[in-house]
Amino acid sequence: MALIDMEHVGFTYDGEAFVLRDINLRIPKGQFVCVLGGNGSGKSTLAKHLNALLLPDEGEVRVAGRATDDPHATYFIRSRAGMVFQNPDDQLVASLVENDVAFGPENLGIPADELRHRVSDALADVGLQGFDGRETHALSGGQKQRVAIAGVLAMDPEILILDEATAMLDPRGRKGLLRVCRELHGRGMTVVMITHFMEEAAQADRVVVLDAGSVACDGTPADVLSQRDVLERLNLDVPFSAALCGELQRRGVDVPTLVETEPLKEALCALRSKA
Amino acid sequence: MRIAFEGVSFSYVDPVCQEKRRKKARRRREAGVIEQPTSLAEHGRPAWGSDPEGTWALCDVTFSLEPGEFLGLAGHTGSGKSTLVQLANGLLRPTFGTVLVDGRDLADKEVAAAVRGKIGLVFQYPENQLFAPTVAEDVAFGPRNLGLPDDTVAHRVREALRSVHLDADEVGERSPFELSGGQQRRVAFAGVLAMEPEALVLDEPIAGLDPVAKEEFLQLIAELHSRGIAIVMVSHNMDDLARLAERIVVLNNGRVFALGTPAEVFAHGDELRNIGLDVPQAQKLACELRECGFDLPRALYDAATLAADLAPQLGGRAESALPGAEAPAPAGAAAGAPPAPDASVAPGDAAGPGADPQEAGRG
Amino acid sequence: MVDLSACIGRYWPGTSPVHRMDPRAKLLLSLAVTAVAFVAQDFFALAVCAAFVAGFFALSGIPLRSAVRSIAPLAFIVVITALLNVLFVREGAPLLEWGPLRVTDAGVRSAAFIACRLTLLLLAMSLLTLTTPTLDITDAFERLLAPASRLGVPAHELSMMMGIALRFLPQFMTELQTIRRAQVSRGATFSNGRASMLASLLVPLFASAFRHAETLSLAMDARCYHGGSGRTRLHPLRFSRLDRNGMLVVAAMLACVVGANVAPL
Repeated sequence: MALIDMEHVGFTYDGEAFVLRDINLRIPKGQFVCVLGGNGSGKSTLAKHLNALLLPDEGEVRVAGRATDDPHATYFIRSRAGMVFQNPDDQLVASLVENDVAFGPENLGIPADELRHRVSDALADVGLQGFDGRETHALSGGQKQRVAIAGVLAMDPEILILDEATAMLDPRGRKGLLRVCRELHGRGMTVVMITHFMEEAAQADRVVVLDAGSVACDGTPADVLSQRDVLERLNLDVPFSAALCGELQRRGVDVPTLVETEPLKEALCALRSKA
Repeated sequence: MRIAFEGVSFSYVDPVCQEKRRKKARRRREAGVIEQPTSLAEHGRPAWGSDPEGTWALCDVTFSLEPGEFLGLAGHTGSGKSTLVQLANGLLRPTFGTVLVDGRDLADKEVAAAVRGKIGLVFQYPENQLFAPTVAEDVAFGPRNLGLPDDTVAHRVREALRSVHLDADEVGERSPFELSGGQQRRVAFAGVLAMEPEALVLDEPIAGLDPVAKEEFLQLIAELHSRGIAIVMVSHNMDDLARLAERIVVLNNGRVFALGTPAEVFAHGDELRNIGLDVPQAQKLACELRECGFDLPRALYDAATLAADLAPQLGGRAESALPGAEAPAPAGAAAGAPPAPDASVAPGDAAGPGADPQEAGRG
Repeated sequence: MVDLSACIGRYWPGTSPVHRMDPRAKLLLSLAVTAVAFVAQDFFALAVCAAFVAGFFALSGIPLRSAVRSIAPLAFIVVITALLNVLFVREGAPLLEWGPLRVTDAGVRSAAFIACRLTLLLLAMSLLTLTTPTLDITDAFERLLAPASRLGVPAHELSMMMGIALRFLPQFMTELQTIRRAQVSRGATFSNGRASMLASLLVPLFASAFRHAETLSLAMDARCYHGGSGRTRLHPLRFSRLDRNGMLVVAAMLACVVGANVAPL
């Protein structure tokens, strides 16, 4: 059974305009999914459905086997599916790193001895060993976001949801965060990443593109990100490699559309030795 | 307007004060009061990025912004970019060295007050500084502070809103807080433009915007530049800098690491990567392809020029099949760039593979 | 740059007995000193109280200079209160008369007394904040109020609010500074205190506070926050022998001061 199961999900904030329409999405355990979409495509709304911050008006969302609209399941689901938000300055609760990381498990009623372990393990997992006693406001944006991830990990979740968590970071912070996510994914974590950075999407197992509240494309990065016309129509960036392939194709070069530079380089070198 | 930095160094902490603090901390540590080192924040800013014990946010920085020039400013967080930006319009005063505006020292309060309106500074996320009940009043704040008469102010507000592609009649009387994020940022831009600056200093003007809004803003900035306004743009995105800037300053740990045209600066890709900066994607790929034996003579590439040079070597044509293909749809800062800006920059014939263009100034 | 560490009696890390005391004990202790300072009716009683506070400072290993500096920003309160006393106490022998102004010996004495009392209070409070991380203080506050929460006092919520306020304080300082610089670069001047100029600082700050609050509450929900019930603590508080001894010392001080007050009668 899928870890996340959305069936015919519809949602509206005001009772009129539907922000999500008939979304059907199943995410199996251990998948790294990127959700792309322009402004107003409903991608953040979708993310908030995955941990019961929003409840569907139509259809059903099941996370780890429980329906999100079951009031008894709310905290279970939120501890299974942890969420990191966009603004690094908004989501840390405590002045000291260790207290912030402990906030989630404290709410779950984890005893103090185990809390200590969870905090130090979670900090180690995001590469911030020894940051326990540091003050959160003196950290860089990338470090704050990693503390936020540690706060989620300390709840021992199965799913990590990142709602444009890299949007406000500099390239360095973004790379660091992405590396952490990939490591966690390597150890079996299911990752759902909302983003509009194509380099991030190109590294996922699966890319879902939303448009006006519905799923416009769903497939591997190679399938989805190579559809230049679709991406442009949906106001998304075209990955550099795909754009270059397009330019080459227009000049009569017989090269497939590739979405990452490394395979593109190999393809071009191979093509050159043939030509 | 010419802004010249001459041997500028800046420290947020007075060096004498810093030394006293260190002594105090040492005494406390020796007295056994402290069990762990105090937080980095206590050692003066920035608390991350460049050396936390280091006193200098900027060290011996010399360069100039020529009238009407588009200067890119790169460097990662903590490299001193934000400090430099604030020194450029007199918000901060250099600890050593001078900042000259048209030959006058900006450290002089009267000079600073006189040129403040001439050098517009747009901070990161400028929409966070909107405050007035209506868009028009917010935009009018700057010109009113300059003491201009009402009709001039009204005219400037209208013109400023027009330059950011907003209609004064449509949004002028609305609350800025009702607008979308992208529109709010335009209003904040207009608020600076209404001072009619001769130079604009932009601190990461496109941070946090989605791809469409980013592209619109970059075009807006290019438009302002084409009107003769000198621009200093801080950006993390090397593709954007390569496309728009005429010269690029790279800062590292408060020092000028490189200064030159994009072609000159990005010829040193490895060195840039060593200090944790990227090079434009097309440039990076071009370097790697040269190693595979491709003949790629230009000093600076974007997607379109790279394709044009690659295609003949792969059995294709140099010319694109579609007439409009040189400037593809708005999507994609990374995608094919309009050829216009780079034509003036890439010295197409010079600098063969691996050739070292003119020595790029390094600190 | 507004240096927060200089403004507020910020935590001074250490391992002294005072540092190791339970924050609840320390909170009670400083409340006791406050009470004693108000009970004290003459300089002698205040001196006894001051001796105890000085003793605690000596024990904590915090240099007196740092202690004084930590209360310096609040010195204006002491000065104003003292001045009011000097100017408005009319009893006693006049020392100086100048137009409607009349300074009496009783006024000067009462001003000096009030100044000493306030300084003592501030020192006691700064001893608490210098030796206790803020989070522990809010925690202690919550635990001490726990019995009252049965009567409907929102002890947990109050302490959570204090904790969050403290967490956002440095951030708002930074934001305020950025906003100020942005408005200055648009020609604003803040020296003459015009209302419109003030609005250009405060409106963006409030707007940002509301934005932060909105996401913060979502983020807290997402991390299973549901009030104080069933919550555990990373650092549970425990009373130790140290705390008992501390309390005994304070009880002794209380007795001394009350004694000193009563004795002259």
